[in-house]
Amino acid sequence: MKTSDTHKEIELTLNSLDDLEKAKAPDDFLESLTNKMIFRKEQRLWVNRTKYAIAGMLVFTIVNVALLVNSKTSQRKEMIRSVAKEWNLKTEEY
Amino acid sequence: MTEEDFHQLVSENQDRVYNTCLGFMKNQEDAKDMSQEVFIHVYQHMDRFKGESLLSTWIYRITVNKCLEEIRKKGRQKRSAQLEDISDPLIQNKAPDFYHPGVVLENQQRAAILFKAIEQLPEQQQTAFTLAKVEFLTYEEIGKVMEKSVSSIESLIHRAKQNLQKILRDYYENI
Repeated sequence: MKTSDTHKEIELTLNSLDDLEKAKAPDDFLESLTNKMIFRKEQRLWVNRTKYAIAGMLVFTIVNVALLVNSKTSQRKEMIRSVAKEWNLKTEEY
Repeated sequence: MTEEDFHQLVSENQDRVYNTCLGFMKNQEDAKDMSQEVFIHVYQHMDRFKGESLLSTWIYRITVNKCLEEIRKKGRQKRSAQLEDISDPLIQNKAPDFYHPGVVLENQQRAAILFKAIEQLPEQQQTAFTLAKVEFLTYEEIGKVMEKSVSSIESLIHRAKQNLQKILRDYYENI
């Protein structure tokens, strides 16, 4: 392209948006926006429900493990105490 | 905000948001998605609007930020894809491919070239130029959206034009 042609083409390109007619949002814009918002809300609800379910299960497991460990420890202590009593020993040493 | 208020807000602003998004995203489907994200953000953060500016200015600001964020994200994805397959000729093909529906027929090819060139501008120049040329905002309005003075906007647009001239010169001299 000649230099003068290039200059002219650059100017025309730079001015090519001068008569632009603004684009309008599609007709179904509000409808699809509403659908998207409902979908997101439901999705968030499910995520929250899952989170709460996992948290609940975690608490349940921790409490059960703690109870199990605690009962085993008390059973063991009880056994030591009875053996110690039988053999006439001081339980604190064990 | 009631559902009715929100619907009113959407119908009053949907065209300006969509047109701005289209100017940035250069794709009608992406522009629609992005416009919806803008309104979801507006709905969720309405309490942050303090009334210090016009509601439309606040919405424009959200629109610009959302679009730039998405463009950055797409740029990162594109770069990583290019790293994976640098020899793919389709990726390297930089031919203009976006035709704005509001451009008169005789200007469509040139406008497509201009939109492609705008992509290469720094973000702030791109924002100021797009708001001026696609949404026809005054420098004062652009200043409010970008939270800059009118003289800063004049300077950004001046530099944008200079850069575009360079980009276009390279383009036309090499075709």
